[in-house]
Amino acid sequence: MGKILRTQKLTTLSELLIVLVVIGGILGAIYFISPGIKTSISKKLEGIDVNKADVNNVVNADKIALPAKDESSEVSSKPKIRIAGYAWNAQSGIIVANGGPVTTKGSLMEKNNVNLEIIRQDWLSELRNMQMKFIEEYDQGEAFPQSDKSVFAVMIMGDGAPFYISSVQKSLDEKYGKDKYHLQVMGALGMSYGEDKLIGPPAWKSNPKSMKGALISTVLGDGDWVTTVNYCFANGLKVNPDPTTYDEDAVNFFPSENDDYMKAAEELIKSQTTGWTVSLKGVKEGKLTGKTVSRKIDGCATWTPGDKVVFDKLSGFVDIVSTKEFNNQMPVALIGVKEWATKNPDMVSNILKASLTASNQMKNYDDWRMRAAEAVTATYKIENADYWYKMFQGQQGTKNGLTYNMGGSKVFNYADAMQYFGITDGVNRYKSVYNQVSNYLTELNPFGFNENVGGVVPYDNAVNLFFLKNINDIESTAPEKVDYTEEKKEVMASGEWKINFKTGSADISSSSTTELEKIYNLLIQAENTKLNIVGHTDNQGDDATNNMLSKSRAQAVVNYLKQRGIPQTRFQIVDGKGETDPVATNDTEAGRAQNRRVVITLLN
Amino acid sequence: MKKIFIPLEKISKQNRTLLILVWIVLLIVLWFAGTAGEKHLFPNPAQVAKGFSDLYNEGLVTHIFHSLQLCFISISLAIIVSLFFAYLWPVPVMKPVSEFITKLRFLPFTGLSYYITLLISDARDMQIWILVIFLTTFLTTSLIAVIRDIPQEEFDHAKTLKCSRFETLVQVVILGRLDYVIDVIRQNLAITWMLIVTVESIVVASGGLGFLIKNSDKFMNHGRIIALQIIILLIGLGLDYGINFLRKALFRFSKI
Repeated sequence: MGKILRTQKLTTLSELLIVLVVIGGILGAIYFISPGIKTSISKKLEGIDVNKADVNNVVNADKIALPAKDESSEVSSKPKIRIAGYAWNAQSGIIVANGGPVTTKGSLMEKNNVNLEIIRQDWLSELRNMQMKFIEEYDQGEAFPQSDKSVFAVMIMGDGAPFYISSVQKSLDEKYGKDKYHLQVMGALGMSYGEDKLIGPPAWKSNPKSMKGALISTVLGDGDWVTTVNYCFANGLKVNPDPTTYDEDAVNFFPSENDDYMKAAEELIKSQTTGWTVSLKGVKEGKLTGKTVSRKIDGCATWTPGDKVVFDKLSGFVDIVSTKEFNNQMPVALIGVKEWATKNPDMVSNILKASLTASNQMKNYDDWRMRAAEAVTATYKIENADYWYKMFQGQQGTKNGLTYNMGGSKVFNYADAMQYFGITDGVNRYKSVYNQVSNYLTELNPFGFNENVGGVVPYDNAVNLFFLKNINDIESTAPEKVDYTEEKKEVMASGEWKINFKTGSADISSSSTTELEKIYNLLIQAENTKLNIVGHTDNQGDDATNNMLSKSRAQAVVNYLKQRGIPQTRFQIVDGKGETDPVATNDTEAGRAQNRRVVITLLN
Repeated sequence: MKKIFIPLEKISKQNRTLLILVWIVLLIVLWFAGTAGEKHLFPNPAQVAKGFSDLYNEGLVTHIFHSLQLCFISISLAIIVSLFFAYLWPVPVMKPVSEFITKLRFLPFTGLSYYITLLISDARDMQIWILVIFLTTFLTTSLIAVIRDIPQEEFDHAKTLKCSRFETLVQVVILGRLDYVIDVIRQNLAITWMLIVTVESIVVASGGLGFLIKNSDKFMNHGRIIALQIIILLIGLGLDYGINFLRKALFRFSKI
């Protein structure tokens, strides 16, 4: 050939071989010199963030007439406001307030002069794009952006807000300049109460430690994932957030196709029924082992109707933990554009007012719940009203002797919303959820959150309660408090925390404040649970002193939590076991440190 | 100078290169100017550069090799399968089968992956076979078109040389069109590359460029998205050039 190397002495083949070897050598060198893929270290966060504030209020309100099904003509001349959200039942309140996907005659939205369209969209990226489109049109000078694809607000799970708001904020700053536009949580409209769950074999429930090494399909960063992560940490299990590696000492996640919660369910089914496996790079202590592991999917974190699909198709699977146990974890958060909302405060307050009023009717009257199921069917265009009605209340089924739960939602009235944000009782449940999930995002760094987003928008910037507080003339009822008088026996989770005390004393070291904050947040998310708190010491010193010390250390934790607003009646047992129950050897300093601990058990 | 505005005018190689450079410079200037203000549609060059360096530090090269490996395995398998069907196309009994394969290229991807899943139990193998199946339909179509276009004279020539039918198949169809096969691969490479990114973003657990672009989109990290688009474009162009070069080197008298 003599063309490439400008020589006539070589044959074409040998010349080509030389070229290939040289190029191969260069590429090989690049491959070996360049940084390899980063692997994450599985983490066991020393803390639980559960807070359980059941907000199923008993209220008495005068019945309001049900909305008609025809589109309202009264508000048709007003500019249309669009809100988009996933298909889930916890949004029933706002949907029935509207009468369906568009504002209907006699609906509460019509009465509040709102012309609203509710759009179902199950893809998070598309929800985000629609909201970005709204901002773009608003930026171009449209006071009420009207294109079909633009939405003023999205409704997503409130525990997903730190992820959503932070990633969009970075993009807004880059596109429009720093701090020109913001997204904010403007209210909570309801909550998942069992609808979102971790599904797995019954052993995960009776012995949570048996989850170690499991591979769970889910939408990473989503609320179902948070429920699962909460459960892992409450039980002292490590979590591997890296979807490309497998750590046998931790709970691992498989990110579902298209970030679709239904796919999470389907992936479990196909793995269990066809033997479908996933090849992952083995990892130990954050380092690649060099082995490839082929794993079946062992469980999934999903929500209704994903759970129904699993229970219909598979035997031997139950709901392990759900938003019923972590009852404050997953509110329906209305996330709107701050700059538009501050120009139209009454509009935003009226949307909230209509929704919260409709929810109050749903709490009081069954025909409102039935009408809501119809409105939801019309909006989501999936299943039928009977299905949504049943799923709202939660369904129990049995298969081959195993009992499982599906569905379960709640809607917020005004008192619930005010209580949820701690406006009425000082316990800001949402702040606990927001901070806890922010902590998961930054500490676990799923999908490289820190590198991609840079940081979480702090709670105070991400939440704006002005529009909620601005509501007036709404029937306001007292929220029901959780009843802690009954003794609870079923262990939901049991975690061991290393809380440092000053030597020989029950004064908590300042270094443990973060851990206590995590425990507090977890307790807030699982507010219905009662608590057993037991202190333990190492074997230094005599028995009697250690016994006393362990008990007073448990009491110190209780005092801290009480001072943060956890009622005394929630603590079922506060005890100390001294040095009698070590979990590690007392012969080494590391072992003794493990033995100096406080065990917190959450009971249902 | 006027020449460059006149249709069908031939210009020197040097001028052609110069023109391309001018356009590239213009594009870059437009990019800088268009993203100079506070508000901009696309990320500015600094954001893309940062995206690129971040990606590099997080294992970009490994991901690229991962995608290339997937590309190489699947296209090799697809070539074997499609050559089999294409070379059997001149045999009357097999003609309907080969032509049926070509018709399948109209099938959409969505939903079919489920059936592939049922047959293949490993997610990585599934990625490969999805690619092989879809590529085969396109490659077979192009290869049959190559065979269909062989002039009758070449067959007649073989006949005059007293070749049997099978010898004619080997000499004219198989050996005589090897350079075209390489060109068909080159043309279909763009489809491979597009599909690779799609299948990798479905099963993100196995990494690759599809995983990276999907992940960047999840976080709305536009600097990375554009950096990855540029990388994918450059790799595509590089492969295109490389294969064309290989064809020219191996078949010096090829007239494609």
